[in-house]
Amino acid sequence: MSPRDATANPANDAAGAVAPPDERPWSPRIAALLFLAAGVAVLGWAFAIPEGAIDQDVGPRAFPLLVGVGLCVAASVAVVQAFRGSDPALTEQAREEARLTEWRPVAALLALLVCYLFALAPCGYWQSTAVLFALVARVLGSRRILRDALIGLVLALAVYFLFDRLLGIHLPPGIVRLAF
Amino acid sequence: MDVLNDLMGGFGSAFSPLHLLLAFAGCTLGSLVGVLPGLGPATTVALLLPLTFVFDPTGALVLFAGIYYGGMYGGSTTAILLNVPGETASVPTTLEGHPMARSGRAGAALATAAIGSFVAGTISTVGITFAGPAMAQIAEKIQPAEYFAVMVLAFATVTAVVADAPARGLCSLFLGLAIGLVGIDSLTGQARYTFGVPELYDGVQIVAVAVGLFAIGEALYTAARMRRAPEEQMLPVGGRIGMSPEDWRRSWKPWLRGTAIGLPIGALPAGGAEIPTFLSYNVEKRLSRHKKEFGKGAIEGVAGPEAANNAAFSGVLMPLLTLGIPTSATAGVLLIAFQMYNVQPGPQLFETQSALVWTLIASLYIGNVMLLVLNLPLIPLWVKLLRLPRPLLTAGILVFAALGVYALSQNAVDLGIAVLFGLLGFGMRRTGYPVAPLILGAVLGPMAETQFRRAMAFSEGDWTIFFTRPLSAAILFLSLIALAGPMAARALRRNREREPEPVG
Repeated sequence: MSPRDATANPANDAAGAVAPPDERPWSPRIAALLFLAAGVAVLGWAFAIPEGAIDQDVGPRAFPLLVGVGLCVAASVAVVQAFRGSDPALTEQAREEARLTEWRPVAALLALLVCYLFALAPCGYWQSTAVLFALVARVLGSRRILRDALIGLVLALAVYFLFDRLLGIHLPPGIVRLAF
Repeated sequence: MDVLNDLMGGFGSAFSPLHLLLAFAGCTLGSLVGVLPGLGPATTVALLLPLTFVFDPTGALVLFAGIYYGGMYGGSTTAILLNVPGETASVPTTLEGHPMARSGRAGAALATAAIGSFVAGTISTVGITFAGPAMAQIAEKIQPAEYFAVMVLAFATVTAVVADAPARGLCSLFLGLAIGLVGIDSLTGQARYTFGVPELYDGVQIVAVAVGLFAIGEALYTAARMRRAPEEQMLPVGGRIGMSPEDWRRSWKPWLRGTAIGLPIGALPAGGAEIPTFLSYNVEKRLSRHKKEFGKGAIEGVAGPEAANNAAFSGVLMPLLTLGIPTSATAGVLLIAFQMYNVQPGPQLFETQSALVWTLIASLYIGNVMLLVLNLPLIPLWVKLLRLPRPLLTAGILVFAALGVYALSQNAVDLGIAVLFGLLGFGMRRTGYPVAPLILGAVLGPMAETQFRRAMAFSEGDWTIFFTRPLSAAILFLSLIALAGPMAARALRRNREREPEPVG
């Protein structure tokens, strides 16, 4: 927010601790491990698929097994590469991303989207969409809340009118029904 | 002659007022959304998928052909003026187009990109017209084992081209394949990876996956970097939009060469647009008499790659229509649009949906002309669009992404899935995992499995069938080369760099 943010050491608030400049960021290692975990899960659940009739040559389990093994193998290689840091370009990219990333707006955006998906049906499409638009703009740094709310309202009403009334795609009307 | 008759029939239908209007709307919407920074053709098509709920299949596909082409046109505008490549295939355009814009020659760069795309698009559409039906006839004779092998080849090339490291590309691909597994197995009715959630019995909504990965992921990425990343500087369009005689002289050969490079590579079942654009860029650099200008704004470096890009993109429609195999992320999203109408592209498409196919092809010709007419005079308008404040732009993207996903089933579950995939896309982008293989795996996976099981049934469970049939074995061998080739090249280069050290 303040101009100092840009010049302060960005590693500070990203990781919560001061990282020495030559240390490799953790994100590639975490990502590779997550892929490996996904591979193990795919493989594990593949065994839970009941095989169909016996006379079939290849049942519903074979392809999932293939996919699970493939994911495990590829992810294992990625894990090894990430921990050995054998890809300097990736390390550089991850460091750059860590330097430029602020987590607060990301979390705020995700929270907004989750609220939106729960608000949609009870509050109505155009009502929640107008609010979503204004709040997203605010999270992303817009400071003209009145203007954004107005644009959001017009946009939401236009979409609602076009899709619900003209094209017949049902969108939740919410508590306040429109006269038109 | 048959082809010409069919094409005439297609034009007859494409020239109907509704279809003309739809083609026009598609081109405008496509360029409009494609121009917006951060939105490449794949995202553009994914964002506009909900429009397919409204029209009949033919009308919708005409609309989408326009969006597809328009999105590509729009991408060159951002590449030139903002130095933002919408996807990897636009990188060469940023290399030469942006320096041109910086030296006040944006008008010429934009014009050569637009006219070159028109030339390439038109020639390629002629190619599709005549080679498409023939390719469909060949495709009809392909057995499941070969079909599966071709899909593996498509997977391998997409993975190899977009990933710097094949392991990460393969992770993305296999995760996509796993997502494609979710749902009821079509052959035996077994539920797989549904965890008892009834909404998952039909599988994960692929539109939610695409919109989440591309649009929501992009929004999160913007949010994360908005304060610390330097804002892209928009350049004013210098001079008038158009080309001097000198520009024409230097452009027309690159256009044709770019088309000649882009069309055949794009049309291969393993094509894509990245290889031909970079190839064209290198060819122009080598052949040019203005070698010193390269890197500082050589018009050949915009004309050639832009033509190659467009030709390859049109070429991509060949395997998409005749084999049902998309070879780029954008084509993958386009295939989703087809499938939403229960139109399954493949060898039979030209016979069973003859009217639809030919209307679509005719509308490609029309779309090309429209884009040229529409885009050159409207460039100043697109430029104004580029000045939209980023927060409002992102908010708008999210609104339309949510609308598209929600309208699918009028169910918030899909929206939740899209948000999850948005988070995944954001994470993958930050850690160097390409998303194109994922989307292709998710779209093509179920088809690949069907062909795989058919082949296995044919061989009575003998796994070697893929290697004992010569054609299938050859295609699989090619896939291996496609994957291992770049790796080997990198290893070789590294060795060569290392060698001098011990000597000294």
